[in-house]
Parts: sequence; structure tokens; C-alpha cells
Amino acid sequence: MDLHHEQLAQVFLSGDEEKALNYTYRLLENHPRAYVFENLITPAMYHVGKLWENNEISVADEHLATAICDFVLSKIESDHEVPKRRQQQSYKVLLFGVEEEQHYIGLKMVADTFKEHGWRVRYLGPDLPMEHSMLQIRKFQPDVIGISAALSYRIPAIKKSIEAFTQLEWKPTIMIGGRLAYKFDLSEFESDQVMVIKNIGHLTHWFKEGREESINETS
Amino acid sequence: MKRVDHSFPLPVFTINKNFMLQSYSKEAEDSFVIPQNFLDLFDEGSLSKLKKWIHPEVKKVTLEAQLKPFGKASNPVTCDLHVKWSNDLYAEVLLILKDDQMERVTTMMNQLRARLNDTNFQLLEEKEKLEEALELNNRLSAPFITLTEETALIPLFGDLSLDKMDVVEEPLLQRINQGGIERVLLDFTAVGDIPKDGAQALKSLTASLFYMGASVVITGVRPEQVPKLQNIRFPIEVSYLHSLQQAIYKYCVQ
Repeated sequence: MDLHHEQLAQVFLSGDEEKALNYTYRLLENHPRAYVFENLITPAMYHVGKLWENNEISVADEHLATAICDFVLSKIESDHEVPKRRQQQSYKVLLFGVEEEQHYIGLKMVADTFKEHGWRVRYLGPDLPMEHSMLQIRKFQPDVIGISAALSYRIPAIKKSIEAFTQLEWKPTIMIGGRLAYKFDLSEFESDQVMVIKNIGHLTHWFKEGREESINETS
Repeated sequence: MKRVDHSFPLPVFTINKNFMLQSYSKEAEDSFVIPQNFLDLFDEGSLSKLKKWIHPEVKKVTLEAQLKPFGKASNPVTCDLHVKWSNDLYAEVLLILKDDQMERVTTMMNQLRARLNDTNFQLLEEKEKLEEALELNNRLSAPFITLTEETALIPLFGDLSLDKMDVVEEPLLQRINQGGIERVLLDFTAVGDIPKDGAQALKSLTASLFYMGASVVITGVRPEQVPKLQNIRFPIEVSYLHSLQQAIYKYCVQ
């Protein structure tokens, strides 16, 4: 049985950032990045949540694990060889977590995944007020806008964002992701312009096959 | 001394096995809108934890749970629950909000993280601006100047880096492809350093020009550049003239 993610969760919880980094590097030697994100880091963080549910750790421990995980992600992201931009313009994506949302680890992995596929990425972090995201979107004119949320209280904010961003004249694709998309059925939001991304695997599939395929696969 | 129940100024609830509220203290009423079901106070993420730990078989337990956002909070609020079953039917639950010290530290950490992200973001923007400026600079470092119908002059500027040669190559070949030009003067007067990879790119550029039927004349080479050019081993068809002036006289005036 593959218990890597549980071990990884323990390493995150230990608060030892060097150890966590080395552990992740070892995993990256044997697995592609997308696999590590989806099948190791994500389940590790869900496992941390599970441990809290089992009354084995406290919220403070969770925060520590998140900080360590964040550090590891930042570090492996900066190791990236950014593909050189040649004459042709690459696609652009802007990512953020809706206002009040504090969860961002998943979004960070998504930013990295886009980068790996040669996209120009603007990662604006969590808890971004609407006016602010709109300003950045108008400036950057992304092809894709990725919105992330974890808690169900954010559904009104997601709705508001979709309403605003579908008005944009250059018709960007809007992606809804995060734990909310993974846990709840958000298909009512989907349209020509709006798609729900359940996880990193779903996203990498979209890079390969385009939209129709990826939707068929998950539905 | 006498032991007294409910003497703490804290929210206390009595619940039954199905989490239905039986009674509550004044402090509970002051802090919360009292629901029928105790679980309605809590965030959905905590429900399975509460169901798992609060039942008569666990006589006494202390656990953390998240309350639904209330009051000014927009995020779930963490609290400690101290649960004690007095018998199989009823339990007393003492609810203590986490010290807001931790909340303050968390908020500060979040602010710091946001600051770092902003800085990172600004750096990225500046980096992209710089890259664009560099590319523009590279593109402008090799203008194509038509001197006569057959002869064109390309004065090269600055270090001949690989990036620069990459940017320059395509428009140059396209220009030659449009026809008419038989001779290209590459003027080195304003060239600085010639790094190895740039030199290789220069060699393949001259070869390309050659295949397209243009002869290449290199002018204005300075003494310190000679060894570097020697290392490249240009095709022998490339000819050299001491100065641009000579070349113009030879190819354009005569």
C-alpha cells in the first residue's frame, strides 16, 4: 500500500522544512510533478485534516503543516526552468482565491502546473477583493481566469465573480477550482465560458485534450 | 466547601444523544443564536468530527471544533469543546473560544504572506518588462539598411549574445528572401564581446545567408575580436574588409 502521502503529512507536521524539502525532492525524482501534486501533496494535506478530525492534532498544527507545505511549493517552483519565451506569445492565466478565502495551497500547485505548460502566470494569492482582481484582470488580459475557494460560504462570491468576468469583452475562460469544486457539485455554474476543475489531474487532462474530453471523463 | 454546578461564566450546553439542546447557560445565549440542534452551531467541516467524538461511549473528551462564522468573523471560528456525559442520555458541553492571541498571530502571518506574494508579483512584472526591453534592444541591434539594389548593410551593435542572434536571424533571412540583395555587409565596428554560443549562431547565420545566395562581407573587425572569429571557422566564402568605408567604396561607389 502506498503510504507516501501519510509520511509526507507527518513530515509537514514535524515543522522541519529541510526534511520536507528533501522528502519532496526524492518523490520528484521518481514521479512527474503533476503526480506529486495530485497523488502525494494533496492527499497529504487532506490527511492532515483527517488527523484533526481524529482529534490527534490541533488547528495550530494544521497551520504549521500548511506553512511548511507552502515553503516546499515555493522552493520547487523556483527550481523550475522557465521555458524561454520565443516570438510567439504564450497563453496567459490569472489565478486567485475569492475574497475572505484563506486556503491557497491548491491554487499554488495550479499556478505551478500552468507554468510548467509554458503559460504566463499571474498568481495573486487568496482573499482577493473583487475590485482588485478586476483591476489586475483588465491590465493583464488573461485567456483563463482561475478562481479558487474551499468553503461553501464562498459560493456567493464565486457567483459574483463569474457574473462579472463573463462580461469581459475578450471572453476569457473561467475556471472554478479548489476544495469547493472537488467536494460539491458546481455544474450549475458551467457554461460555454465557465468550467469546473475538480483537481490537478483534471487540469493536466485539459491541457492535453481540450475541454470536451476532460468534461466527459469526469461526468 | 460546597461544589457548585454551572458556576463558570462560560457557555455551557446540555445535549442529548441526538445533539438536541436541552438547556444552556446565560453566557451561551449571550454569545450565540441558540439553535434546536447543537450541531447547527458548527461549520460543516467539523460535523463528522463532532459525530465521531460526542457520543455516550466516550465519557469525557476535549476536542477542537470550528464554529460557523458568527459576529464579525467571515471565517469559521475555532473553539475547544469539553464534553462530559453525566449518563447515557445527556452530556454537558463547555464551549471555550480559542484565545484570540492565536487568531491575531494567524492574521499577521497571512498579512506577511500576502506582502511577500505582492512583492513577488511586482518583481515578476518588472522582470517581464525587462525581458521585453531586452528583446526590443536585441531586435534593434541589427538594423537592415539597403545601400544599393544589390548591397545591404547590417551594422551589429553590442555583445553578440545567442539571444540577440536568435532575435535578429529570422527578420534578416526574410528580408533576403524578398530578393534583390546579393551582398550583405556585416559591420563589426560597434560589436563588443562575442561569446561562444553567439559566435556559433553567427556562423550558422552566415551559412544561411550563403545558402540563400547572398555573399557575406565582414568589416570593421577589431584586433581583439580576431581570435574569436578564428575559432568560429567561418565558411571560406566569407570575405573581410578592413573598414566599412572601404566596403562601401568598393561595392557601392565603383
